[in-house]
Amino acid sequence: MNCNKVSNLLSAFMDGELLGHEHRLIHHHLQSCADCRSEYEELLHMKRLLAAMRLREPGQRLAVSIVERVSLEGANPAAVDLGPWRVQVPALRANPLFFSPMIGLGVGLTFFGILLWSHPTRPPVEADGSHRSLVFELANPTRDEPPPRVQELTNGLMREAAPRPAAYEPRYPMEVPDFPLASRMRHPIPVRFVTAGMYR
Amino acid sequence: MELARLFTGVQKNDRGEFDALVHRSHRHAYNIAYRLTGNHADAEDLTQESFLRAFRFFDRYNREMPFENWLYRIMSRVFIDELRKRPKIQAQSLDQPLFLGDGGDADVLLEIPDSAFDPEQIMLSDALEENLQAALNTLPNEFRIAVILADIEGMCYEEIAETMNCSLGTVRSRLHRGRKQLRHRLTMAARCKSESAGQNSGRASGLFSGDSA
Repeated sequence: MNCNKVSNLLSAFMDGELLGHEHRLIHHHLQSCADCRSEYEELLHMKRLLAAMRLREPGQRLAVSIVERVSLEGANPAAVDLGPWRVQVPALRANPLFFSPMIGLGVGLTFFGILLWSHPTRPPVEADGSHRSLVFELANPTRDEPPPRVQELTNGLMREAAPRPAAYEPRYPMEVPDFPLASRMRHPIPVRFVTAGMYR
Repeated sequence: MELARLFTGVQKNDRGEFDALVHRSHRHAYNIAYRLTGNHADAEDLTQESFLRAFRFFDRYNREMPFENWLYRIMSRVFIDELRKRPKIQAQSLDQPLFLGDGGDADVLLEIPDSAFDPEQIMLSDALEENLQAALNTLPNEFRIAVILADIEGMCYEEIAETMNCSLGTVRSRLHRGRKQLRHRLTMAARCKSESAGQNSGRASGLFSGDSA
């Protein structure tokens, strides 16, 4: 065993924390190597100095003030009064097992809310109706009903506008009440993945 | 009420047990806190905060583990958390000279008071103890905690690993490096002290020779 390896094991040797064969190896090495022996003695000296440091005494009131603070904590846990569902805030704050999932849930809901509501006002639709963004699809689940055929004024005469491209033909005619939230949530997300593909 | 008790986790009969533990172990806890922080005020704060946190989580305390070990685990976490919040405790860097005291000579830093090597019989001088504490304050937190738990509290490696929540190999390495750094700090301090003493005496002699010329 070389001196470098021995040096790294000297502390553990000194503390009696080495296995039998390692202990014997270091012991033999120290008998033959003056450098390692000197290093060992320095470490031993350091350990003894630390062990000899005086026991520091606290102020006389330390135990009393700890018990007082503990009593305060027990008697007045800053409870939020929620009627029968009284919840103790410090305990919740102190308990990561309870608190972390709540943070995760909050962040998730916020992110989903932002995703749902911050959709572009106009759909990024190409000429053939493809490449609708997922965000837009989520926020505007369907435009299945054909766009109203508008009357265009051309040369002073009213005539019917040209029909929309076939890509806009209704695929899933559904009766949906005219209610903003309901219309947004008409299709669950997996269905929109399928229908987004069908526009291509 | 039952829900509240569930959240605090502390039953009424736990209070009596906890108070008894406070009275039994606060002096030892304070001593460790003092060696970690290096001053009385911070040590009392750290001790109080550790006991308070221990009380909050008292329902999780495994009675098979000595209470002090569990408390020191909490204390080392509180200590590291507090240091992160206010780094002023870590005032002394490794490059900064140690406090060398006003009087005495450099030998005081490395004196071996009693070569019989029985820690019970060694009496450290105030200056040496102050320098040891100053050297401890310069150690990185993990090294400091490991060295204090091993050499001042007298824990074995397994207990330290449990307290610091790390492997035995990590404990071994932290202790070894911590002790070597401590030794290095004290040696450097002794060298600085003897050099400054030499310069002062040189200056004084120069002054006298100038006068006589």
